[in-house]
Amino acid sequence: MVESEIYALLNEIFQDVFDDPSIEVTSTTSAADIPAWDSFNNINVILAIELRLGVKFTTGEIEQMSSAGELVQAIERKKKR
Amino acid sequence: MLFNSIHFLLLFLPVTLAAFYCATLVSQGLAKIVLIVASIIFYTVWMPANLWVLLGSTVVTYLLALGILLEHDRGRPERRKLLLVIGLVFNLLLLGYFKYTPFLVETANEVFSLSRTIPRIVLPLGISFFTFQKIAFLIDVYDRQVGKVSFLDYCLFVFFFPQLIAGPIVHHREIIPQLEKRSFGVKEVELYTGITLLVIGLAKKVLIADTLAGTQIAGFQALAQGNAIGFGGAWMTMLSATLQIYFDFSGYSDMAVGLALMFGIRLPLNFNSPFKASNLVELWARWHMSLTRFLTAYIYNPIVMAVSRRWAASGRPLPKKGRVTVAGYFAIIAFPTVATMVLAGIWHGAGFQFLMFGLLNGVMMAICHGWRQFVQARGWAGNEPGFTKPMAVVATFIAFLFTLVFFKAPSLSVGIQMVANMLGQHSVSTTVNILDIGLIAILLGVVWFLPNSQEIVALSTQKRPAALSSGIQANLQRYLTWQPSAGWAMAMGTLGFVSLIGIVIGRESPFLYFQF
Repeated sequence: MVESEIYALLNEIFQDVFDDPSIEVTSTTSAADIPAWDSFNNINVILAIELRLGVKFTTGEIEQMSSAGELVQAIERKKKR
Repeated sequence: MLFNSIHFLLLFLPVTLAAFYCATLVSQGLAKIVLIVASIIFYTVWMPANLWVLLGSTVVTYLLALGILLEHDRGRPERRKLLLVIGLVFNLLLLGYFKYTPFLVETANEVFSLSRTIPRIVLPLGISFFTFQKIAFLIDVYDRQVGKVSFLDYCLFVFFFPQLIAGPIVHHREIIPQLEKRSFGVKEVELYTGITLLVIGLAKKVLIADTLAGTQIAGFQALAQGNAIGFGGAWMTMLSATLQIYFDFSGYSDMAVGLALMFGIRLPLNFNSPFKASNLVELWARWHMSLTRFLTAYIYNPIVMAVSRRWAASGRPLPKKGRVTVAGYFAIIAFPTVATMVLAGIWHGAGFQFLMFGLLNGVMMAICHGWRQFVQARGWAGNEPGFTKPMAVVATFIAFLFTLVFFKAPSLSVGIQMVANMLGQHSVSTTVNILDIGLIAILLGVVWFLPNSQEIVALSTQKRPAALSSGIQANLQRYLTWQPSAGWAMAMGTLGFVSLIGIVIGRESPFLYFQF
């Protein structure tokens, strides 16, 4: 899975979870840019990724994800294995 | 040793700083050893009896972490998991034995009409904090978030005295990379900034928190003796208590962050003006932030993930903004929130009052989430527009104040009595000192309108609140932004001197969070 595909998927998931079709995810998008990105919606984003890609994130990984760039890195690591 | 003691400020700290800086001229390793030895002295001077708990649990946890890494390399996941479980059980048993045994025996005596002797166990200082730190370390080692850590760096990560007793609860990844990469040595700006934070924190503790202590202690004592204190007395007690806890713990946190900075180490932000929050979820994201972060990562997230994965596996839709079912709300939102906060309550102390403290916070936070999901998301109510924001801030403060009744009360029944008095159930005429009211009004002004200490020294990288960009507040912000200037040095010197006098003429009182 290449990076652009991951961003396309994240765009779709973010727009759906945050119910905002105007969201454009970039590597620097963080919780500070999306006011609704709280611990609850963070989990919703991660669950949506898990369901779509069939991967499973660990407690430590979830805790460290506070920006889209970190999400992409984590997904890339999962997909490489 | 207390941060707010003459021994610490005028003897331990200058000697340790001097030894540390001399050691940095020799080698990085020696500088780390100096800090580790100083930290153990700092701990031992206070409570030598339980040093073995700290040392023993640190060594055992490190060995288990090494084992987990080794088993990973050998490709034996079952053994890796076993070692993690042993580590978690070991640390939790230790915490459980020291913290909860007397409470459990007492409760068993009451419930089953037994007469077992309640054991006298001296709680090792800071055990709740260093246990959490070690649990996080083990889980992160298990999750492969940690590669290899030297024993020296690990010891400094655990023992480092500015955060040893009451946090901030730090992650290995915040500290260890600083220890691995950093070249230690005198860095003037860090030293000055550290001293400024230390002085601000000291003044918060000595000049404000300790001054407020008297009123609230008297109120709770009267209730514990079975006397009513009336509406005015109860509110004065709780306003004093709330502000005391705030200034005590945020003062401690400022001192911790400042002390660490003097040794060139950055600790995470622990308080970010929590009383400026307009709901309880936001308040907890700004109050004791390192604890909230820990609870979210290691208790809330795993519960939500487990419940949600099961929920999704059964083919039911996951909750989404504006499309949450009542069952989904209770299973995936309310239950994990309340469960996490109840555990947070019990972590604070052994007693039903702490359980109530957690429960009240959890239930109100769940209501807050419910409001967002059912009311705001459907467009039935705005997102705190205009004038409702100050009302929301005051309402959040009062709601939190009610929960703190059970944090401060010596027992659940005294807490209930306090609430009854606050609701005007006991008409007792109380004379309320006008000076006390004035002090509380000034302090509320400070917590609501002034920039916090991290903003003053511009340590925080967080964006300034939008409200500060205009008018009087913007000017205040400008004047109150620290600079390495003669004016600020004079101001901090004076504040530090007055605080030292405050320590000499008052009495050294421990920080409230040292009991945890």
